[in-house]
Amino acid sequence: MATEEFVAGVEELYHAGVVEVPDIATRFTSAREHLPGPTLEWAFSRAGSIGYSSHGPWQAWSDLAEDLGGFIGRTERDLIDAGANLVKCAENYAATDDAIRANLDDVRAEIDKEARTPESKIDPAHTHGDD
Amino acid sequence: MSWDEMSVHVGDIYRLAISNELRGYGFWLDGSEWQYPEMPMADVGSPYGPRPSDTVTQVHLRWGDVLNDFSDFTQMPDPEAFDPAITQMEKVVERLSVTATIDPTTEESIPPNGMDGHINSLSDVRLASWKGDAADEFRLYLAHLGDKTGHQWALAWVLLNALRAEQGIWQRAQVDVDQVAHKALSRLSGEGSGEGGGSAGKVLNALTTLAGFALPGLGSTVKVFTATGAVAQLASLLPKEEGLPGDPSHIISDMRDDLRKVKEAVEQKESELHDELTSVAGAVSRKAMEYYLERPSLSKPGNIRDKRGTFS
Repeated sequence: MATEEFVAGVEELYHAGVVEVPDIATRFTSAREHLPGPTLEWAFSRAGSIGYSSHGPWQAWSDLAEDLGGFIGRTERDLIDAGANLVKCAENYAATDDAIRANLDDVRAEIDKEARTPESKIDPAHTHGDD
Repeated sequence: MSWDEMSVHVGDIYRLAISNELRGYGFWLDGSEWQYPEMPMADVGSPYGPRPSDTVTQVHLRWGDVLNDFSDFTQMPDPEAFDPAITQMEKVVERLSVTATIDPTTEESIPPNGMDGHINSLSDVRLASWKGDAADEFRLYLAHLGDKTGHQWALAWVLLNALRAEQGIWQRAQVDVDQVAHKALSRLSGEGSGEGGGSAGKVLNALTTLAGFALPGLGSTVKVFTATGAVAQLASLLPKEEGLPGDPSHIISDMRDDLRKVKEAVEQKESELHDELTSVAGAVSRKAMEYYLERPSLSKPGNIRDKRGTFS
């Protein structure tokens, strides 16, 4: 049987992997999803001989936006994977010990309950799909 | 002024240029027909030959190009087309805003995205008792995540302001072209020189060095883009030498000179914007590691061992 301290530590790992780390990742997911895509090119285009080339500074803007998208996406992916692995760690511990498993079940139920309570949900301003 | 209104003005400029020149030779309009003086064309100063009908035809041909002078401007990008992308980029900036910030260009506040609290909670509470290399590495990752996100924020902010500047260039170009047309119309119709446009004297300062705004690789300052000001310095667009009141030769010549200056200013400002974005991209490329963190071991597959000792 695991010590109480160890059981509590596993609970924290699980909570971190299910709630906090994914919540940080949503900021990056949302940022990445709001980056304007290639369709913005039409806004820069002009048929006449005016301005800097036929698409102005579009290519330079697009290249830089692509760099930023890469940085954001990389951070987002690392956080999502880290969260998943924290959960996996906690579940592996739970598979070896009845006390940990029971506590983890309680934590899961608590997180599910919080997720169903509207006021406890993550601030919608920081999640994707909000606009 | 819409482009439909602009085309009406251009048509008016064309008609007034013809009218002013023909009137200068003593012609007058009777209904829709030009009437001519009894004296020979050479004596009234027409350079187009002895027949009045030739003078009317040649004067129409002479100013026909006026209709084309504005054609490039009718194909300018629509400034409003940038609105959705600007709104999207504002959201990117908000999402990456680790701390409360004041947008240096709009002076509006950008609220913090709240991730700081989660990072502190993770490091100080949730993962505090977790031991081992992976734990230490992940805590270090979290400790630096705010800084790297701040750099991503700065990059997003540069991109946002580049869009604002691009929009501003075309907004100002529209205003400038409008004023050039109005100025020519006013002078042709004898209502004055067309001076006194509301924006006269403003200059677009598309690239402004903003001290204290750091972007890795570019030092402690970065050029940012402002969206206000005129594309061309309208004070210099005003006629340097007044011609005869209503004289189309001087007025159309000045108008073409003004339009050329607007075109040159637009090209220069867009070129500056392009060069600055390219410069930032170069700096980002040289200092890419300032914008993200090495993937922590915890994020990598194969580092988690199950109860049978199998890595997954």
